[in-house]
Amino acid sequence: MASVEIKGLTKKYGDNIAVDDISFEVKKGEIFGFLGPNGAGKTTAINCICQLSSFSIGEIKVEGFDIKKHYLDAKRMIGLSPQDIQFDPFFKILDVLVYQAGYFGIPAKKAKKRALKLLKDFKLIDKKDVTIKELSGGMKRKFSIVKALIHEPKIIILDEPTAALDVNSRYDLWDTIRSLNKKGITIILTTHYIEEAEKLSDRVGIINKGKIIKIEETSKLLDDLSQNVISIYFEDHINLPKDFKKFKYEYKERRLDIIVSKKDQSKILREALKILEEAKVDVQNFSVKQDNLENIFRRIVNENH
Amino acid sequence: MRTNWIGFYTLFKREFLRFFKVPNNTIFPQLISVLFYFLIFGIAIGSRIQEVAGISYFLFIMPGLFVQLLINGSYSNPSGSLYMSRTWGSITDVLMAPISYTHFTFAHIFAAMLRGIFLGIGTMIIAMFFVKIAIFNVWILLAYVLLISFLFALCGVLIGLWSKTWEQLNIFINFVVTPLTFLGGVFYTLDMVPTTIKIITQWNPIFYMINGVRYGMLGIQDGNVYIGLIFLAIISGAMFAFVFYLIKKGYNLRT
Repeated sequence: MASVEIKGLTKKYGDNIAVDDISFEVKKGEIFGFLGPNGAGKTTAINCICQLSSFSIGEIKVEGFDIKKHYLDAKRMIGLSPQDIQFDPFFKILDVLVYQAGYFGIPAKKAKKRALKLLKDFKLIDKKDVTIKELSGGMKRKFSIVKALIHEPKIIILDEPTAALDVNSRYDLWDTIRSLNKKGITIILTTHYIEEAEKLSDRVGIINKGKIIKIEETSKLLDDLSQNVISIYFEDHINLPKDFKKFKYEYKERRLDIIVSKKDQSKILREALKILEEAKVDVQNFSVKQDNLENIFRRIVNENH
Repeated sequence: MRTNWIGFYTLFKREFLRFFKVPNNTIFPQLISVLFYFLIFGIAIGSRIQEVAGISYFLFIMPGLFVQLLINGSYSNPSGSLYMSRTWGSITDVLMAPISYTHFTFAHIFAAMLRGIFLGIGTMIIAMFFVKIAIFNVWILLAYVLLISFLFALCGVLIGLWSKTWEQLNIFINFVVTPLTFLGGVFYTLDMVPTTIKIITQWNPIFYMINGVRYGMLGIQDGNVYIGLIFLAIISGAMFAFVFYLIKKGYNLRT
């Protein structure tokens, strides 16, 4: 059984189709990177999963619970750290956590104990008596995750968790996400930092204009769709052997760039060097430039534009 | 799934305690206004007015001021809370939680009713510094207090869901409740005013609310309190059905 199953989900705002007949699964215990350009439908889909948006077409199951038939059971399974930081100026953050746990049926005494432990784990314990407004940007984001964790959900949804964070805070948060995942929590991550998805996600789903255009394991996506560049440098201008025609290449100013996928990279490099050796061409140097998920993402999105 | 009573109680508690966090905005101004009404209308002007329906003018205006604060407290709690939590996004915390639509509705309503009753009791305590108070019919009083606070708590929920701006939030209280309260016989009986005001008053639902509370407290009435009670119950029932429907539908809660 998958953690989240979405079948034929369509969400419209008036005539505008925000999410158009999407279907996908998030496996138990994985980090699923949900990517897409602005307005692609990521947050709408997440809001539907979290029951913050209603929908009339499609089906969503969370840990096996149909969110329309068993909406309360489904809610217990999810913790959300939303894109926009929420304010509650009336209560201190410790109180906010105790209330949040209470909403999930956790008695106040137990909730307070759990809240203090989480605040300690996330290095926010010194701030327990301040309101959210008084926290720094990074702390607000951490607190948002703490709040999502207070009822010990099986799934955490992190909507743009590192937006507006400095580099150190971002790396700290990556470690946090990894350690949560190691504890068996399924994580759905939306981000504009594709590097983040590449570093953290087991699988990625790419959505554009409300449609899912790719779902793949991150490593497989990089293997299959990356366009790494093998650059071979020569001392003098050369006439390329005919055998190079089978490669996708560009030759300019004593430099040969061969574009390869990650999985074919070693084989093609060996083959190219062999052809050059057989043609008695002196190679001065060579290098390999790795492609990244960001470029792959851009190509996929542009192809589907 | 078992009923999440802790969730319901937590939401109720949070909604009720929220207004204690800002007493300078939610408690003291209302009670100070009432104190001034008592001082100016009850004592300064009231001392020059003959008895109304056999009681002192101070006692006569007390039920109306009680209803005014009961309405104000019951209405303001959910309207302000829902509007602010929608605006700041903190409503998501509650919407994400396994709290049923019924619990969501009643937690807001009960907290609002309690705030209204709290302010109403505050009015009585202030009045007790000036006059001796004895309740004439506690059951009629209780029925009216519960139904009035219930109805205006529902109005608060409705406006809290509907409002998109602070201005909209205050339209109902400023342009509907306050004028109707003043034209609802807080300061006069029907035979004290000209025909036009008398007719307006007779068409004003708040008049019957004040009349019922006045009967419960003092034993005097300007209209039949039982008919008023039935009408109030019918309006409250209809209002509840409408508000519950909106909450279940996710009106301005879910996108």
